Amino acid sequence: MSEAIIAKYPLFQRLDDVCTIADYLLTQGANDLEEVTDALISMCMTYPEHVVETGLLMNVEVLAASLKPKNRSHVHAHFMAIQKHLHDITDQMEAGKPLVAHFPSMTPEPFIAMDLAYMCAEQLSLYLVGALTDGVEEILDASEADGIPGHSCGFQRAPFKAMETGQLPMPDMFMCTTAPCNSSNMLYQMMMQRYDIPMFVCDSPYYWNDRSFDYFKEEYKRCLQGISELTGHTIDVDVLRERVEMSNRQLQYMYELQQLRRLKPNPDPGMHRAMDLAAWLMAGSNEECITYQKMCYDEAKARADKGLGVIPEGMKEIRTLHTYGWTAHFLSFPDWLEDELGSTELECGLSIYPGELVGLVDTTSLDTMLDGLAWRSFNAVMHRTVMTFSDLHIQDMVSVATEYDAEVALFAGNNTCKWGWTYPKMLTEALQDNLGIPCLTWETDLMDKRFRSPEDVKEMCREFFNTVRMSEA
Amino acid sequence: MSSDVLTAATASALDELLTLPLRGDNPYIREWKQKGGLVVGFVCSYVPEELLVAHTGGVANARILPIRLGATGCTTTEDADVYMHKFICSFPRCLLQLGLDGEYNFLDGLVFTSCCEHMRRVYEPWRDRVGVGIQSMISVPHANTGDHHFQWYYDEAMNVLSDVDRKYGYHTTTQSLRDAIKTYNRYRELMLELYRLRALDKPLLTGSEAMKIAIAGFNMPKEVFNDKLEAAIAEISKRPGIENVRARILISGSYIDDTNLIDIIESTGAVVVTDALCMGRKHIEGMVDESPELDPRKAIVGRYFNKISCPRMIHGLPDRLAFLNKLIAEAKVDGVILEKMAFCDNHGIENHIDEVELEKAGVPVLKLEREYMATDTGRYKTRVQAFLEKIS
Repeated sequence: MSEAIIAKYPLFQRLDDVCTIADYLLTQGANDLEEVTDALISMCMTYPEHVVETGLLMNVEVLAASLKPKNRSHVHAHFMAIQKHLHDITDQMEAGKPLVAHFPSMTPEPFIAMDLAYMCAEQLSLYLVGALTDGVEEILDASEADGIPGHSCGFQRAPFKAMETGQLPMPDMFMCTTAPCNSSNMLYQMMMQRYDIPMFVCDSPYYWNDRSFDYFKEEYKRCLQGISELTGHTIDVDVLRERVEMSNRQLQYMYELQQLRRLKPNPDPGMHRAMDLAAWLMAGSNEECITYQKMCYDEAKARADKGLGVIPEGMKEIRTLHTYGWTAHFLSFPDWLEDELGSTELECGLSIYPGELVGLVDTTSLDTMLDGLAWRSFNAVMHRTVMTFSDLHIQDMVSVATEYDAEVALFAGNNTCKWGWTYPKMLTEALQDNLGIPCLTWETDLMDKRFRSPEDVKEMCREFFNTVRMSEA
Repeated sequence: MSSDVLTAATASALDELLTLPLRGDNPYIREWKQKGGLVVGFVCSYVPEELLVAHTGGVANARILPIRLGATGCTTTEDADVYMHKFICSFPRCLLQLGLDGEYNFLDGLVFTSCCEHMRRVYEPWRDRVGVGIQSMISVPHANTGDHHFQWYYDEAMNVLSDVDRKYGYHTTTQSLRDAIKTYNRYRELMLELYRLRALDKPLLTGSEAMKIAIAGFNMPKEVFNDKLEAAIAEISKRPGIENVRARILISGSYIDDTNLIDIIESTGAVVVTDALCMGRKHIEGMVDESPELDPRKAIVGRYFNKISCPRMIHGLPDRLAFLNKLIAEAKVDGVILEKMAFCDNHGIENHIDEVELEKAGVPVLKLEREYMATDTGRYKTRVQAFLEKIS
C-alpha cells in the first residue's frame, strides 16, 4: 500500500482508518459498545492519532449492529476487501499508472487488465457516509455553496467536490454510462469541462431488449478502446480472464445467496446489502471480495440448514421488500428492522442483481469476455431498470414479491432521485392493490442524514409494522 | 387548409399570432380534426417534426399536424401529484394534469423522448390514465457525435414513423419529405428574421411578443404560420422601435411556454432581446440540408442530431457555451438571466456552469429558480430590479 498516496487524500485516509478500526474491533473480540470503547482506548497506545480520531467518529449504531454475531464476520471480510482494494489503487497510483474514475455501473476487470489505476469515487464516499457520524455533509454543503443545486444527487456531488478540494484524487479520465440520470450526467459534464478531463461515455439506450444491448455493447467496447488509445495501455487477455474468473466466482455466491432469501425464515441479514453492491463494484479486484461474498453465503446457508432466521427467537417474521433500496447514512436500519420488528429484508432495489438473467461471463475469448462484461453492466443496479420504462422495475419488484412471498414493502426514496419519484404510485398499485402487500413510502436522502433523522424513520416503521401485525391479528 | 381562418375575425396576422388560443380552443386544431387530419403532440425539440408532417394518407389524404405540448393555464396539479411526486419538475406535472383533465383529448398521437427524467416518466401515467391513439418514445442518444449515435437516433425516429404508418395507414414520399423540409426551413428563416428584429439597437418587438409568436408556431400548421409570420414581420418592420431600453437581456434555461417571467422582466423597462431556450432560438437554429443527393429522411434527422444541443447531451457543452456567447454578441446583450424550473438537474447544473463562464467573460448573470405555475412574481421582480440596477 502506498502510505504516501493514502495520506495525501483525506478521504482515502479516512476510509483506510475505518477499515483498520473495523479489523481491530472485529478481531479483538469486542462484543458490545462498552468493549469497543475499551478497544479504542487501547488503540490510542499503538495506532496513529488519525486512526483514533476516526474511531471516535464511528457511527455507534452501525458499530453495534456490526458487532452482532449475525453480521460481524462478513462485515469484517468486507472491510478487508475494501482496504485491499484501496491499497491496490494507491499502489497503482504510486507507480504512476493513469487513474480512471468509473461510474458504479461497471465492474473493474478491464481496467485491471489494462494495468490502470481505477476507482469508483461514488463507492468510496459511501463508506464514509455509512461509517462515520460526520459523513459527507460538509462536502455537500460546500458543493451547494459553490452553486451546484442541492436537488442534484449527493451520490456524485460529494465525491466530485472531494476531488475538487483534494480529498480524493482527480482522475486522468472518466468512464460512465448515461443511465441513471441527468444529475449524474450533468455533474460528469461539469467535471469534464472544468478540468478538461477526457470522458468516455457509454450511452444507455432507453429499452431493455436485444437491439438495445447490441447498441450498448458497442458503446462499452468503444469506451474501453478509447481508454486504451488514450493511455497506451492495452488489455492483457490472460489478466482479464483471471479477473473475470474471480468475479464470476464472487457473483456465483451472490446469486446463490439470493436464492436462500426465498426461504422461510429468511436466513440472510439485510445489513450487508449495501456492501453487496460495493463488492460488485470491486468484483475481480481481489480474492477478499470472493471471501466476503462466500462468507455471506456460507453463514446464510448454515442458518438455512438449521431452519434459522435472523430475527430474535419467538418473533414473527415479516418478509419485507425494499423497493427503493438502502440509505447510506442509515446502514444499521435493516438490522434494527430485524431485531425490533421482525422485518427481514428480501431484496432491495439498490442491490438486486438477477443471477438467472445475467449469469456468468464466458471467458473463452476477449470478445466473449467483453460481451459478458457489457451484459453485466447493462443489467447493473441503477442501470437496467432505471434507463427504461418504470414497468421493468415494477415488474421486478412484483416478481420478487411473488417468488419470495413478501408481506410488506418499504420505499425509502432518495429525495434527489428524480427517476425514483416518478413511479411509487404505480408500484404501490402493483403491490398493494394487486397483491395485497402493504407499502410504506417516505422521502429521505441517500447521503445526507439531516434530511430525515433515523429516529423519525424508526417511528414511522414502528407504526406501520404495528398496523400490519394488528391487521393480521 | 384555409389560411384565413382567423384573419377575417382579427385585425392583423400579428394580432392573431399574439392571441392564438391553445389546445381545444385553437381553431386550427379544430379545423384540422374536422377535415380528418391527425394531431400528434410532442414534448421535446428532438422530435423531427418534418417526418410527421410529411405523412399523408387516411381520409381524403389527410395529414399530420404536430403540436408541441404546453401547459399554459394550468393552475393546480392535485391529480397529477398522485402519480408524480412533488420532487418532480412542475412542468411535466402540469402537462399530466391537463391530460387528466381532458385538455388534450383531441390528440391522436403523442411522441415522447428520453429527454429528461421528469418528462420521460410522464409516459407511463399518460399511457395508463389518459390514453392516446399512438404513444411513442424516441430514445435520444446522450451524445450528438459519431455515426453509431446518429444511426441509433435515426432508427428510433423511423420506428415512430412505423408506428404511425401501421396504426393509421399513413405514409411519406420523397416529395412530401422535401416539401416538409422546405416548409420548416422557411419557418426557421422567418423566425431568425424575427430574432434579427429583436436584436436591433431599437428592438422592434418585445421578448413577450416574440415568445407568443413562437408558441403560436407550435400550435398551427407550419405553412399557415409561415404566411402569418411573414405578414407579421412586415407589420413589425414598420414600427419605430423601442426606445430607452433599460437593459438588453438574454434569457436561457428550462422550458418556457408562456410569457409570465418575460413579462415580469420587461415590466422593469428591460427588453428580452434574445434567448437560448429550447423552444426559442435553439429550436430554429440550423437548417435541414436540401441537397438533392441526400436522403431527405437522413437530412432531417441529421439536422436535429447536429443542432445546438440540450444540456442532456454530453460533450455538447463547449458548443452550447459558444452559442450563448454568439447570441450575447449578436444581440448586444447587457445581462443574462438563467432560469430553471425547481428540481431541474439539467439546467440547474448547466446554469451554474454558464454563470461561472459568463462572469469570467465579464457578462453579468442573474440566476432564478421558478415553478411552472406563476407564483412569487413579486420576488422575481425584486430580484430582476436589483440585477438591472447592478448592470445599468
